[in-house]
Amino acid sequence: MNRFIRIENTDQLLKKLNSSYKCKIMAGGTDILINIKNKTIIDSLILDTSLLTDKYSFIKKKDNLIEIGSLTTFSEIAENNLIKEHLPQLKKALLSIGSPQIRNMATVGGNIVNASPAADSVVVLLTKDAKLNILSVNNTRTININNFYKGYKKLNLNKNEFITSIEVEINKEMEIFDFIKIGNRETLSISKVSLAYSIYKNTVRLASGSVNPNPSRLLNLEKIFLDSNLTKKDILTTLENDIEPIDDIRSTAFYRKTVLLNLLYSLKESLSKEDY
Amino acid sequence: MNISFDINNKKININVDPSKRLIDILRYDLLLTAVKEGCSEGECGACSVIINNKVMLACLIPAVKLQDKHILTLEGIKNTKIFNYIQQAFIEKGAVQCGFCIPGFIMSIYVYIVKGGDENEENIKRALSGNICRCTGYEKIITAVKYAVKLKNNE
Repeated sequence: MNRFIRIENTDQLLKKLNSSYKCKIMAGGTDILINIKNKTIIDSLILDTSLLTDKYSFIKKKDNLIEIGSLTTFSEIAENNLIKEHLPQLKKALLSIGSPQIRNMATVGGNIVNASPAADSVVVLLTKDAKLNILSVNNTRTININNFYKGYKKLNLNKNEFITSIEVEINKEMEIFDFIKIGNRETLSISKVSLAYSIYKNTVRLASGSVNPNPSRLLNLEKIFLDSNLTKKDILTTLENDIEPIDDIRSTAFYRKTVLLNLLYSLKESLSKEDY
Repeated sequence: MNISFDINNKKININVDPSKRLIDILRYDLLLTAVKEGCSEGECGACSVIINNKVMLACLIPAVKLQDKHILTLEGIKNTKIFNYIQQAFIEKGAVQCGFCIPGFIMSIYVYIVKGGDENEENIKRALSGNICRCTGYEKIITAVKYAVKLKNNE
């Protein structure tokens, strides 16, 4: 049996996480409730964070950084003027998830910790080298989201830790960026494959969802992506070292690889046109 | 667990299992049966309700989350002007087929119009994108929303 409790403050949350109970933090609940229904979460203490929303739901800008509270919903982020102005690709990714109803409930911290291989917001955050601020009873630490995933639903997050906020560097002038999602339809569809990129001067960051056990950067391809004589075949050969797509209910490994290759090749072509 | 919240503008306090879903509290404890159970996993929108002015899904909200929330179901808006425009528009444009999805649709439409939504078809489609009609009567529903917006703007 799962047991639900309402957390009253941060201290209580950290103490419960640090206890011997098997705990699950519930933010928006849109994934957890499904997991409970499917019995993939059992015999757990479900820690509801509704009453912590005021504290961990915010978006602020300081210099060239935007900090987003982990309990901020997709709708709140997508409708925020700082995000629209400085991180429109994050807005685009968030608006591609679920439906208006789901986006009014689901939180960015939840999307990160749920660790779906398809997590659309994560794909964007990877290209921005976003930092996760993490709190526990006796420690605070910050890690790059690129060091957060260690395989399918495996996280660099201890049992007693809670992500409080995410820090993202705002887009630079002349930075080239976007998020592209391939799904069956516009609403309520999970990515068959996705691509986010951020290119600034000689730094290329490419990330993709649904092609590895967790959302991931295409690190090998990044190194050669600006080479002027790069062919489509070169992209494919390198991409094969970066991804391990699988066949599942949404798509096939072949489709995912082919579509990602085509997306990357069009990006490369558009860069050559701009003399990049 | 004791939980107090507003339901259709009435304050209530109930003693309930914290894991009980809002949809079950509404339908079986409070007998507010306009809320419908469709997919039970957040994809169909039939259980849409308005919580603190936002449309959310009653099948994915456990009781533990309800403290101090303001919840509106179809029953709670039926005496409003905007609901009556929507109802009139649905009747005149023949927008209801089997009716199962309609209370959920009306929640989304109500919030869309309250927040100043216009007659633009793309905006309407986006606002209704979380509600599925398996009679596939979307065209008439969209026509009805445009008409309801017009009725409101002409008041």
